[in-house]
Amino acid sequence: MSELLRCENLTKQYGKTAALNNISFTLESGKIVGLLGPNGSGKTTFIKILNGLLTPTSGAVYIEGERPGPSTKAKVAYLPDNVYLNAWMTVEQIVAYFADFYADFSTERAFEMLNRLGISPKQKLKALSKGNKEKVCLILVMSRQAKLYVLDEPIAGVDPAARDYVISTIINNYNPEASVLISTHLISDIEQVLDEVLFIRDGHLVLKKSVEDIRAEEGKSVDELFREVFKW
Amino acid sequence: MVKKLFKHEIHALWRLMIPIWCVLFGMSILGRFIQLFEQETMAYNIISGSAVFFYVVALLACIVCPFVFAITRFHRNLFSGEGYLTFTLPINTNQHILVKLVVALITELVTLVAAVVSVILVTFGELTVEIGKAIWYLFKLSVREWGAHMPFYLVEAVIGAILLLAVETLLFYACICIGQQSKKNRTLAAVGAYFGFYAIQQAIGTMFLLVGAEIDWKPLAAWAVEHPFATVHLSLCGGIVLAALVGGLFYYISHRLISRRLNLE
Repeated sequence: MSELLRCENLTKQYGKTAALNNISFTLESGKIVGLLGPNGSGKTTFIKILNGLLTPTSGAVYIEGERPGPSTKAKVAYLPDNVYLNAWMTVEQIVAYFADFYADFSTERAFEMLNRLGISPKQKLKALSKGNKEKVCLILVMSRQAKLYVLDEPIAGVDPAARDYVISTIINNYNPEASVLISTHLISDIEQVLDEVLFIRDGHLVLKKSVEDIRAEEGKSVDELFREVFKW
Repeated sequence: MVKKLFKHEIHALWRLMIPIWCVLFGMSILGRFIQLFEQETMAYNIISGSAVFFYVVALLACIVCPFVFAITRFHRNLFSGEGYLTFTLPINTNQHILVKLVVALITELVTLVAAVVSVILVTFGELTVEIGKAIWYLFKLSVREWGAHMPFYLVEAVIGAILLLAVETLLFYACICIGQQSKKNRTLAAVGAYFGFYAIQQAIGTMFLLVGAEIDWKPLAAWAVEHPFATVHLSLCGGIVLAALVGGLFYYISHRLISRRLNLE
């Protein structure tokens, strides 16, 4: 497996507060990785840096050896933790938008998933419920054959049935040669799909281990270990 | 990729402008229609007066809107929630800024043409024909007087006007980008940046006036009288270069802040 993501001494300061503090690690392709930590631990900051939405204070992140830029954005499919679509567009317009800009986007697959959910392509995005907007966002991201999927809190704020839908959409649609980085604090819901976990606390990387090793060495589930590590 | 970005940018801006252009032409046609029933009655005066009022409002809105929409589009598309999508497209900062600028300029020029056509439509009659003839006469006269210089003057003036529009748009882009560097009250910070640039502009203007007062302009004035064509060319080209430099500075500020200090929090 080749190196997909490399993070070198990554630091992000907001004033005097360090959201990320000297983080270094590498990720290989072909894995589903959980980026786990409590709220405010620096997960979203890391993901935004990875996507070029934030500039690091120091250090760097590399995707297939390149810093975030137009060429890495063509390889990374990003699902933010908020609804970011142009509200005035219709569903089919946003699908066309993605198809225009991402060479790896499959319009057919997007419409197939939308159809399964009963979302009309003619519907305006602003007319959709919050839950359906989030699902459209997920469908757009998972309709790409990206090399790295970065999903920021994809199951936060959705009901358990929708969580199952989100997780199955991710599992059934991601490019198997790619990696998926899922940020969440709802570990029990995604634990069964994870290959590896990264624990982040107060901007520090406190653990990077495979789920198999955690179970074998610690004799615990990821959820149990998380509760132990992040105990108040 | 630029072509696709251009297509989507045109769509995003023109979906707002097309209704305004339609209202303007609708008002022009209505005005023209009302003129067919011209009569000296109170009712007619009220109707035609109202039509003129609403037409002028539509005309003013039409002139102001492209600029306002272009600026708000720049802000919303880059720095609000939409920015999460915009900045994760495989497109570089130059392409983002340039496409937005070009589409804004095209929209402003199309609006200008629409406004002129609409005014002609409303006022078309003997007077309009006479004004048209007068403009044509002035054009022929200037061609006769200035000869081969005339087309160059025209080209230089048009380039200068477009550049001035671009500079004004880029000034707002730069102010928005500076405002985004603030932790709180980003709109206020952008307004502050605008007044800051205005103050700098005034200070530089005053400085040139003070320095200019100390210079003996007579030799230059004599040269200008001897070489009137070259003087006009130099003035127009000087204005173009100055506008390009100022616009370039605003572009650089926006580009630098977006590419090096983007912080979508």
